Amino acid sequence: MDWAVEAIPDADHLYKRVHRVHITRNGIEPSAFKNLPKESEYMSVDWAKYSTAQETRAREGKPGLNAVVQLTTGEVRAVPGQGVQHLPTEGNRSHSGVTGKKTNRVQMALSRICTVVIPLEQNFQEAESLNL
Amino acid sequence: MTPTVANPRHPSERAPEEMRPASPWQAPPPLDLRLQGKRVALIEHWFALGDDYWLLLDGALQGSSYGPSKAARELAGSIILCGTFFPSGVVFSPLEEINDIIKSSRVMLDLEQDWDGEGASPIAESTWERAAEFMRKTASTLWTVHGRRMESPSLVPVADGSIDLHWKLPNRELLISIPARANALATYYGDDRRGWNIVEGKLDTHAPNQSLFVWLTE
Repeated sequence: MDWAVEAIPDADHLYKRVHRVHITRNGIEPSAFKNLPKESEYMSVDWAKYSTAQETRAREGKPGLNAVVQLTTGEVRAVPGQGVQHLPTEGNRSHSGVTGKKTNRVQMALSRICTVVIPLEQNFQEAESLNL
Repeated sequence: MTPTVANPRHPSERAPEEMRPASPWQAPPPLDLRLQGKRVALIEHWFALGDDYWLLLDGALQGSSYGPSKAARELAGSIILCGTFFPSGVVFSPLEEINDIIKSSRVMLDLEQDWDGEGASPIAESTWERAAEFMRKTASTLWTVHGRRMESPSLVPVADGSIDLHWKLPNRELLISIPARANALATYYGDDRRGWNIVEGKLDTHAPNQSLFVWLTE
């Protein structure tokens, strides 16, 4: 099904998976905020209108190894050079992108405005039970 | 890395009541910490102790993810701050700390293709060696020339095969990205954590780059 592209309001939240190697005693590392997949010009996120944080965590990768952080769209757009676009795919209506080059400055800014909504600790326990 | 304690028994298992001093005036058991082979001998100043003694032990044993040398220094710092012990024999060389963290970061070389489940590249040993050499050289020069200690950064693998060095200090934050391509320049950005006093640009990891690290340690 082709989902209509919608405008994402500034007040809406975005969810992003963060791999455990990007969580240190410093908190969420700026390294977590890159344009990926490598060839893309945006950083994939899920729009909270069509996804829960749990769904975001389970959607890709190895869920047990990921935390989920939340970003507020307006705060992301306030970071110089960054935009937020709804980019729905066939399997994921919530899929969106944070566009713009992820310089060190941008990465650090994003790490400062994100909030952890699913912490890693509980995932570690699940990961252990799954032998991940 | 968790330091071990020889005597008394490991306080993370909660010190048993019989080991606690009955009163602040009773001498506690001798403290003899061994931090991964580095002995931190402590001379008790027991009359100033009470529950602080156990708090101090608990804190010390939580250790530091930055390695045993930094754990030892943090412990010594806590003790000096607390004023209840006098540390002796603690090695304060910043190069040991850096070597600890470099050594422990080597595990990132075990990350395989698609280690994040989203197509991440493995970290090449040559990239890790460049990052390690940059840190060693910088810490050494900063210490010998400027008499300043370089705090240990986080060494973080990045999905594109690069390595990030990240310092998050009370009034400074610095991010340096060591690229996977050997001939590419590293990029950096730092500020005072409030968006002021900004440093930003590219650097050659083979060059001294001392001004950047003097800024970091100001």
